Amino acid sequence: MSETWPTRHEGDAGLQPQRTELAWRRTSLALLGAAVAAVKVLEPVLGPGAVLVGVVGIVLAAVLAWSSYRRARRPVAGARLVTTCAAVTLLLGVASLAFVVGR
Amino acid sequence: MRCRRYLRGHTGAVADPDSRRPRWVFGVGSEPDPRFTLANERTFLAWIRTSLALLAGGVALEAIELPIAGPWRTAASILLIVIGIAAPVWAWVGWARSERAARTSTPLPAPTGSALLAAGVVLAGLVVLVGTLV
Repeated sequence: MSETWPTRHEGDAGLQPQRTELAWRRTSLALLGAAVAAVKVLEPVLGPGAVLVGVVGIVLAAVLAWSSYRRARRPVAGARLVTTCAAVTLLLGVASLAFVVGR
Repeated sequence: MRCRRYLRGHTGAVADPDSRRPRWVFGVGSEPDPRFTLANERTFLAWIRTSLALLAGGVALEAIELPIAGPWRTAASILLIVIGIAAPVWAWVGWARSERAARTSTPLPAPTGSALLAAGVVLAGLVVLVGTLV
């Protein structure tokens, strides 16, 4: 599998790993922004607990960014990254719903 | 040349048995052209960013007190957030089904959830519009 994985030195082929890595980076940055915004929005509701939510979100966004950086350079299982990313977004959604309903 | 081989698709054998999960996806078929896998991943990520945008919109409606009649504003907010919660689920299911289709060389599944996403966003927009007018 590694023999067919396109490396960064292979100029053409649509630069697929690079594009995918950038897509992961955009998404990680969006998650990072959402985590920081969540601290601001949840602070009046949760108090210091909001900081914990923010730290968890920031750490997870960093983990996704780092994992996708490595993944662009060698083939690793994508499923775990994909599942983690979906789960984090889902949790953020549940927190958002709790915020709106709890107001 | 590595590039050429890559463009022709997968030719070499996978050294160790494929243990990736879910088995429902990785337990069938054969390794597809990496470009399909990567494109599928980018589609998944586009859904995730859509979800984040929906959540941000839903929370912002309530957090920034815009001049929209209260119940309508809350209804639009909850609607946006519910779609934002469904989106990562649709994203994951769509990703898994597409990956499976690529592995088994079968037709791609119909888009998961895109009709509901479009309908939900239109509905949320109408609710905000009504809330602004009343």
